[in-house]
Amino acid sequence: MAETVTIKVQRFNPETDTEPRLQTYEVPYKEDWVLLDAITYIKDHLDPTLSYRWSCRMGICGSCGMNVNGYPRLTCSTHLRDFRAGMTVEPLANFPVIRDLVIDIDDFMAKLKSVKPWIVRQLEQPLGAGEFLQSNNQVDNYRQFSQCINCMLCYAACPVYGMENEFLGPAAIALARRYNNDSRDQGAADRVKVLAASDGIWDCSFVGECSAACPKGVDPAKAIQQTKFDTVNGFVMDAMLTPFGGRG
Amino acid sequence: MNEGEAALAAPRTYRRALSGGWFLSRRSYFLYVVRELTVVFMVAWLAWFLYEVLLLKQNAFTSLSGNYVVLAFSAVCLFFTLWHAITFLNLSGLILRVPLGDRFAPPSAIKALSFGGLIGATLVGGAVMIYLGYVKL
Repeated sequence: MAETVTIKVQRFNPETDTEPRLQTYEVPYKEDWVLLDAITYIKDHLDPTLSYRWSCRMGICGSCGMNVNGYPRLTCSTHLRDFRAGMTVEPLANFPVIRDLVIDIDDFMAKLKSVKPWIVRQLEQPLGAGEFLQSNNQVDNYRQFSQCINCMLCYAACPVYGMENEFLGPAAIALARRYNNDSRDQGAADRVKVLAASDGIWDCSFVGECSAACPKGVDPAKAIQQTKFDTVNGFVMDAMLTPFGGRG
Repeated sequence: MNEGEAALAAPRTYRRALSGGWFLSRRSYFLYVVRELTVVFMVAWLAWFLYEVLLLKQNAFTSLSGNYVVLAFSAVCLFFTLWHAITFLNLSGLILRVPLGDRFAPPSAIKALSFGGLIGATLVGGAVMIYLGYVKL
């Protein structure tokens, strides 16, 4: 008899259910399968009504994040062999659930957009002026934060976001940091209005779980603490240089 | 907009609220809450210290510094304060960024300077207290 693994999956149908329930499936165990393969097996062979998100299957698109035994993970990078005793799969915590394992990402997308995660120039130069050149050191200043794949595992791991959904959150702040650190960018003054607002960096009490959960080693907690320091530093320097209210 | 379109535009969702015992679900959450709670001890010690200063100002000072309970409480608060200082300074190299041209000062140097500053300030503060006679050796 072929080996199997037990997977409990959270189900929620907004048309019939008032709250989620767990449904148990027995899935063939294969040494090289990841959890996403097992969920796809359930969809293809056991229960075609199961809803979930996925795309690239190689840890790049950030679509297949789910809570596995209570911990946020990319299911395309979570091997069945590491969970032989079985697993419980739920949608990412702290987000509204639309159906089964599919969460509503509108809140995250709005927050991401609010920090202008693109290169802002005060005055665009014509294409004929050539490209913006950067040294290796200048690239190193933002490279780590540019690895974010917007998978939202950091939001699912963050109890502050769980308690206060208004919090800007780890990934949005890390992305803001990525562009603030970019020598080509001139948008830091625009972003600080969002970052230093009441729901921005100061909401973070440094639990640090965002960095532990990040599958790409981005370290959003570091981005947040660095932004706190830079914001205070900028405020103090500004106050010292223009002590009598020169700020506009 | 018909019923189907309305459902697509604003689907009914379910949000699970964070439970009251969320910090018991993971060891790292629990340690975080413990770290936050240590601040209560430090605030209590500072409040007591300020109260003694107030008594001193009113010439009604009766120091409890020799009391064993107060000594034990102070030792616990000192431990927590040092814990916060050391964990904070351990991260200083990652958080404080000092620009040097197109790069930043190495984190190890910032960390060493931070710890050096703490030790230096402690020694200078202690020397001043001894010099002024507030602490008798």
